Amino acid sequence: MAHHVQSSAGDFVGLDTELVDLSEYSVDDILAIPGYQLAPYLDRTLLQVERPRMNLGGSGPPGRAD
Amino acid sequence: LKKLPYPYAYYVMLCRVTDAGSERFALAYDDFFALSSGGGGPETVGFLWRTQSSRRMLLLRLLFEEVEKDPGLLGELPPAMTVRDVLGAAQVASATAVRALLLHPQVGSWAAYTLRRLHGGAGRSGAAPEWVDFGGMHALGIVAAIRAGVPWRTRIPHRDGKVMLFGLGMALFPGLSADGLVDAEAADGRLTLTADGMSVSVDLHEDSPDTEQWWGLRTMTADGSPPLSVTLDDLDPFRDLADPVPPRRLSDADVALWRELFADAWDLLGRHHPDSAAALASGVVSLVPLPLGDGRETRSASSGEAFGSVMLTQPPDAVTLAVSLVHEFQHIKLGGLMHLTRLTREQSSGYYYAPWRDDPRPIIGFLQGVYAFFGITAFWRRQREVVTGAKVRLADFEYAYARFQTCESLEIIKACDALTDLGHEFVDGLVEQTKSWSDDMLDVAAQDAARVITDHHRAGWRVRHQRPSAYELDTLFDAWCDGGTCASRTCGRKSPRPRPPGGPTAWSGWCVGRSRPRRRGWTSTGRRIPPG
Repeated sequence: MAHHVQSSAGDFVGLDTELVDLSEYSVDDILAIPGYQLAPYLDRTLLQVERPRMNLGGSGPPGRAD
Repeated sequence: LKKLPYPYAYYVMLCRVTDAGSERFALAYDDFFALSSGGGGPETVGFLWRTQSSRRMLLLRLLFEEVEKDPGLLGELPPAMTVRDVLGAAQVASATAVRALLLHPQVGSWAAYTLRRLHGGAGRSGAAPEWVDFGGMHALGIVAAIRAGVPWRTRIPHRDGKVMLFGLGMALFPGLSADGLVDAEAADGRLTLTADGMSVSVDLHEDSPDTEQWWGLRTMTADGSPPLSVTLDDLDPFRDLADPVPPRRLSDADVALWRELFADAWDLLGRHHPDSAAALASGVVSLVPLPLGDGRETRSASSGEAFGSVMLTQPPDAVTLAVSLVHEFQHIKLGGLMHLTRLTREQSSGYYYAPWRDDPRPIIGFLQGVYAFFGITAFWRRQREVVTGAKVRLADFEYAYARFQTCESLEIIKACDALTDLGHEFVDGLVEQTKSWSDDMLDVAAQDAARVITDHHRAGWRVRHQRPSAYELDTLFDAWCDGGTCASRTCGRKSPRPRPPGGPTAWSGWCVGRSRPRRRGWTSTGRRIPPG
């Protein structure tokens, strides 16, 4: 079930995701964050990397393309 | 904090610490609904880029963690700390330049491949040593330095005498073979690479023509509102789907043809598909020419790690290029969304009938295909309104064909239990959009031909893959004995597994061989070739 995110005013603003927002961090900051804080996000990213999405498309009739 | 009782003060401190990295992205409802209706404009795509930026940071962090655990992964290259320092300095000098570099599609592919290889999921026999791949960190550092105007010196690996500099181009050292190191220096807007007594110097501010020692990454820009500018990447080892590939430099004539097709496709999209064009302009930054296969069909591809990159064989015309861009961008958007949230269940093991594939598809590939074919259908639905003459029937055929495929696959995926609740909401959004499709009046012959091909494909797929249950067999047998009929339509609702390749049931493109002539008959002559 997707979790909903509330603003500080209590309004529902969207759906929670599994990706940490590092927009405000420099490379140096990110490399300095203790491992346990990023662990769930790093694990999730590694899992995605190990099971990559690769799509082959084609203009023709059915075959080997999505 | 000192005024607070100990446990509470500790809790507050912990919260502050965990603030560094505890804020997750919130996916705005508008963005989710836009994507789940098959669309997503520049704002939604911009959000996906922001999320990709954070994801690239995580990939970078993972790479640094690996070399920290095992410094030997960098071989004789300088320590990773030097890269960390230069990235930090470059970010201070120009955060925009570093962000753009990290978001370069092939940087994502490189980082993912390097990690995947370390974890046993990539790297065929004969692959370069690990330090060549991990050495990409130094290539990243030197490009960040030159982009941000930070002086820096390091060493970077070459592959068979070739050094790829992300987003810039490739230096060539013809005398070098196998893998090794070159010295690299960024200073005063000029990058100098030296090895084996040879030196390559590149001025970042100049468009350098090809030489024996330097191939610059070319760009294609198509005017319009909005304009679209992409790199035409025939160089980067990580421009393809999986393992690193050698450069395949296009001739000037090929580049000219690509640019012409690109401009025409963009003109078509801008004039007749403005919503798609606006989204593509904000989302596609790289086009990778694929080598031609058997020369009969256009092939395209994309990878989740290379957000913004489309791979494509040279298409025969601008319309094919336009629909291919739309097709692959659907994959790219959905890939970005699925980096954020789960639309499919992790443990799902079922396989499904996809009307565009000869083989049963796992749920993630199936959902990707549904989304892509939704985009193709929407393209032809609009395109059939803007063509005239003999092209009308062809466009009607393409629309009808894609519509049959999309609607059938939506029916199948709606009924499957491999989607999460959010995945079902996502699919419901697509279904909602298709409701008006059935009102479209099509050329009857075009629609009939599309139906014959889709029916033919389904029948062939069932013969090869469908495994009826004992109950279904009993029901069919009883009906046969009683002389009655039994309407069994279970295709795709079972979970057939792909049969192992090479066995007695192996096949390849069984349906393509039979349906291609019929389709070609339509597309090339406008005549209907009778079914059967």
